[in-house]
Amino acid sequence: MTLLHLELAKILRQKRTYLGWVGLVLVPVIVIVAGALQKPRAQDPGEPPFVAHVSHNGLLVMLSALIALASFLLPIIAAMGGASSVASEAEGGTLKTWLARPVSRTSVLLTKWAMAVLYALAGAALVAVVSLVVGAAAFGLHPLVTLSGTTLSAPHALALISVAYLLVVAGAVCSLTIALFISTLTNSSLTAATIAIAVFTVLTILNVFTVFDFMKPYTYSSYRLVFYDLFRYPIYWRPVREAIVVYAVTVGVVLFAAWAVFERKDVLS
Amino acid sequence: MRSLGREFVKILFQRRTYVGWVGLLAVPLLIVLALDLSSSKPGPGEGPPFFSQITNNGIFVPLAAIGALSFFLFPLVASMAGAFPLAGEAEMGTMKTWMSRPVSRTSILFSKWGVAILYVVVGMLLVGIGGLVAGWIVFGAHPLTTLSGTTISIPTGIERIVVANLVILAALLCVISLALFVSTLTNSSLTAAISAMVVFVVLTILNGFSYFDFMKPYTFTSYSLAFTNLFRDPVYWHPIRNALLTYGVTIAGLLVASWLIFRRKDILT
Repeated sequence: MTLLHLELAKILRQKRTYLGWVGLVLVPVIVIVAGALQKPRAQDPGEPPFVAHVSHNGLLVMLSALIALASFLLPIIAAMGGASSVASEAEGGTLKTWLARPVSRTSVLLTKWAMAVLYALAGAALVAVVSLVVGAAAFGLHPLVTLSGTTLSAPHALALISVAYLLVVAGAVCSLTIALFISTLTNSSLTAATIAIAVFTVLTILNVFTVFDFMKPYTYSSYRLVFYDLFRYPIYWRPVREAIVVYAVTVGVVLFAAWAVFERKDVLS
Repeated sequence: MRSLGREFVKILFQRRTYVGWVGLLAVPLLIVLALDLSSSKPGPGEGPPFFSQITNNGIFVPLAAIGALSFFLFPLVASMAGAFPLAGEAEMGTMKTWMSRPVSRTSILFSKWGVAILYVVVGMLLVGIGGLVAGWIVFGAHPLTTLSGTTISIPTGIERIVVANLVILAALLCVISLALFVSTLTNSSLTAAISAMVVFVVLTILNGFSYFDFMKPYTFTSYSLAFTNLFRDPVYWHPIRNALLTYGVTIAGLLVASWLIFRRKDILT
């Protein structure tokens, strides 16, 4: 527990922590401003659902912001959180000091991972709260029309949206764990973050090609928009369950690899 | 020129450099592989621009690859390349050493900017040449069909692909200059790179809402498809000229801002 406090204090003292959160919160703000001022219009073909009718319902602001987060911004911010934890200590030359104290490497690594998860979770929660409050103030909360055409009461929809946010965060945790793993291999936080984002992007590109369809069930990137299935009636639980299993396996394996490397790493800086 | 050469040698000693180049080269090769193995070919209008033409004509591979990369992966690499040269020195504590030598800050700043460009240019050459060779071998080379339906000869086609690469390079210069600018404000290369990426993504999201159309002429992100106009007959130079003008102003503005800050910055590490 003390370790967690220490890490939390460290994160809160870095400028980039707030930069990341500000970047995230800008998204719902853009959605709300655009939705409030734009003329109502029909959904363009190829456009993600929910976005076109944002001005009818504050709940749609939450969903539109989530779509933007899931595809780009949250994986970037999460990779930053995961990469900075171990590698930036190495950069600052403070990793040695850490390890001279009577703490186990396992607990150092797990604390850093937990802090990065907390960071991504806080970012997503911030977006959820801002878009809920401002969206409700601007457009009011109304029952949500599902993708199947049925209607959900506002509280029920809100509960499903919270689950959707958690799903997206779980996807981002995969990126974050990969960044943590790379940061045990290199001493540069920038390298670790870039590689984690590049892995996510390349997997996303591969998911587009039908030849690589056989990989789809196993790559975490192909489930980034799985939360759509929560807004069907009845809910398609199967893809959601699969996503959770893939996320859990990815995080488990990569975290284990990070631990195996870090446990025996020569710490030189 | 001497300091640019020195900077280039520095990046050649970093593992990250090669990770980036290999990652970029992998994309055109994967595209060729995927489309060669795939039984269903992408239909017209599917995927990134020029994608559906690849299987008929290998010359389109470098063009499709560069178009697909310019949405995300190239900006990512560019922001990494732009952020590291300056902030990396501060991270490793070698900036002070630099400053104790008889070199002007202006030439340091510009050689850092120059080396970032050089890095991205090498990446583009790898994508272009790798894609062209792989596409030529697998799908053959034929005169190109333009978007207007006319045909242009192979040498003219390659010429236009080179010009398209230069237009995209100009867009990436905006990202590089942005990352360089942030790296004069912070001592962390990760912060600089992520800030540049967040600005890029947020601008892209902004461009997605028609309410913010009035900003489009002034944001460098809104011209990401300008290069496709080179493949009309006759070439539409107007949007390309507009794009280059916006890029020029963005780059100049950011460079002047970085120079103003860096010239008077307290170097503490």
